Amino acid sequence: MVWILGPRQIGETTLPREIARTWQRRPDLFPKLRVLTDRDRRPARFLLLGSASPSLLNQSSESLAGRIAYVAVRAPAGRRRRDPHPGGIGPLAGPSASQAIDATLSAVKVSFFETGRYCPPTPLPSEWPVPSGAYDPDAGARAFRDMIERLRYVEALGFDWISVSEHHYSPRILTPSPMVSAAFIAAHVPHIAIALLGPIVPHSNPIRVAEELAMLDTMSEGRLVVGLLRGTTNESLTYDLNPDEARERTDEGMELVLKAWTEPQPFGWQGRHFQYRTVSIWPRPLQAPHPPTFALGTSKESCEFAARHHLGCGVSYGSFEAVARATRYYREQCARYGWEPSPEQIVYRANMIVAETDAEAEARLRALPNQAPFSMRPGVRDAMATLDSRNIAGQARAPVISGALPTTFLGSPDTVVEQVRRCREVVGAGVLDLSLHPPGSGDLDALKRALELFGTKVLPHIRDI
Amino acid sequence: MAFREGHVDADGFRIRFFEAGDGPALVHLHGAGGPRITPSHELLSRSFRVIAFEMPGFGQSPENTRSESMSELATTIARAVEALGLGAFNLWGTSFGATTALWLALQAPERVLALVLEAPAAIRQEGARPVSGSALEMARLLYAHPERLAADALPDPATQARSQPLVRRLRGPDRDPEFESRLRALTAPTLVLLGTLDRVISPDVGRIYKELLPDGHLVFVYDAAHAISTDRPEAFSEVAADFLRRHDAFVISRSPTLIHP
Repeated sequence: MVWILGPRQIGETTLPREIARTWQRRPDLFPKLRVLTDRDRRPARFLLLGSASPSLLNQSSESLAGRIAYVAVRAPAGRRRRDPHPGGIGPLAGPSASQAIDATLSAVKVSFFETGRYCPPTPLPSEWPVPSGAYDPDAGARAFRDMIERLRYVEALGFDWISVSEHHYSPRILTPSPMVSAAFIAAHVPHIAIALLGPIVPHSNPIRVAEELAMLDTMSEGRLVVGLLRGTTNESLTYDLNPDEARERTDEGMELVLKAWTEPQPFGWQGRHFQYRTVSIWPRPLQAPHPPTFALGTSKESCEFAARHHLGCGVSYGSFEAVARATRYYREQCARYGWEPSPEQIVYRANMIVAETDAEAEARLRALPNQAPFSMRPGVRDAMATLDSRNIAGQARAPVISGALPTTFLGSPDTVVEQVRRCREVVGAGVLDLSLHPPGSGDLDALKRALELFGTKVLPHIRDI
Repeated sequence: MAFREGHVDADGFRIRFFEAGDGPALVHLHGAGGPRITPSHELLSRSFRVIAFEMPGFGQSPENTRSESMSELATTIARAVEALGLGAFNLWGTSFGATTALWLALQAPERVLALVLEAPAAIRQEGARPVSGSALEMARLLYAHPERLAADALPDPATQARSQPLVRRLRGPDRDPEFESRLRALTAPTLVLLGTLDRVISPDVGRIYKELLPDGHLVFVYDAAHAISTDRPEAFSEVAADFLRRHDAFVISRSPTLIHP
């Protein structure tokens, strides 16, 4: 007996010729199947198809142990395909069938936040922007070679997504163009979903953003997840974005990206900050109507935008309680617009330090510098602090300019599993986007050890949370 | 805004100056070609009280055989500014005058609020030569678009020639390690501007200032030659004024991009 599992409408039911009734409609199916299977011991007499929720599987008193094999078919980005066909079915996921099932049915998905990990051969200047002259091209080339090796390992460990972000002028995060990063990763890491979290909308040409994301979704065969955002405070200084306009340009730009993806007729855009007489992008995204998309940010405006456009919501780095204010507000807004987001539509980016013991993890946190690795000049920092208004669900929040970002998951694997459980309850996030080691650290061995520990001792235990 | 002419006595010199505008004081020190009121002077006088000196030995002033060094000339100018009753002030130096400005800022750091160095000649690529030749030859060296200049704006070889000995005496070596090491202690916010088409001072020297100056910023002005404030007056004045007003924070854009409300 073989059960092919997959999220809805990814094509798993178009594959076979014989179709059994799905588990959802007949929860009493398993006991009957056991009897039928035991009568005739020939292999693979029954082919079960369709998606199932973890709660249903857990409800079953009949596990069919020894009688059933599971094969998971992933639509890696977790959304419907525009045009299901056998060739478009996602690859069989993960290193083993059981892990594959976990990946499909998990309530908490896990994303690995990849930053490029540049290891400078000599100490660097400490001010942002860091002079380009201090960059070592060979070290840069090595960083991207190592990145691919690392991400293949991440995929093999059973992570659900790899995420990349847009940051400029810093050795800390070597991915100024997340589009290029994502394309490179998609070409070298074959199965995992790639989350582009995300292009900084206010300083980009939104049409170009829509076009490049559509290309990526198509080239990666629907593995793309998208987060659109305003960007961190310092990013206003790259590409000369006026901080006063950042919010407005983000909202308008995001709406224009969505419109460019979904409007079938050439259109003009008479905006406040963007103006086009004719737009008609090719290609459009592979996933329909577009890749799973998040508005990233804790602000009232961002949450409202996400709710209004039926997008996911992404929060980052704050304490569970702080970001929960935003996710609660987001869910309230969704209700106002008459819909309810799934846990998978809330993603939380956070720092995690996991070690063999709590004490070791705490020691490692203490060893980290307590300030941003590349700080701005005081004159710029202070001016930015007054100009850059941010909020959590409407409550003013100071921009993070010179402080270190907090680490909200810290401890032994058991402790971290408990923290993930708490986070799931408090924040409601179905996806954790994790830095398992300080993003700027060049200690790749430590990162690899953290990955291994997380993959073997944490990941298997947070699937059923 | 019309510039009015004035004179001030300082350090034994009778020094002519041109003044226009209200607001914070902005003192200008001209290049080796002598004083000239450019469109940038007009533009900057909309937000600053611009005082452009004719340094002793340049323009219509008699030959200056007294100033032995750039440091001495800077002291003279500092005294002239003081004689005008100005305490702290902003300082804009062009080419040769930018070297004077740097010396002045080193001598009186507490008085110089911020520095704008237009194509500064204090650090030069190897083999750099002072501008000389016929009016047209000089114009070709100094301007990216000499064809745009009014005939009376062309450099005057006779005036140039009169100040040439002073320039040679004061301009210093292409690289002066002792002077450069002093720049490392210059605390005034400093904006260094170089034209991408500068044929007198290589735009590549800008990076040396950036490395030396603790609070230095480097801006390349596209499609401008050595005489940036004449080649691209709007571009030059906008960034200079913004820097003088906001110092370091001028890196934060305040330009609106709203198309329609």
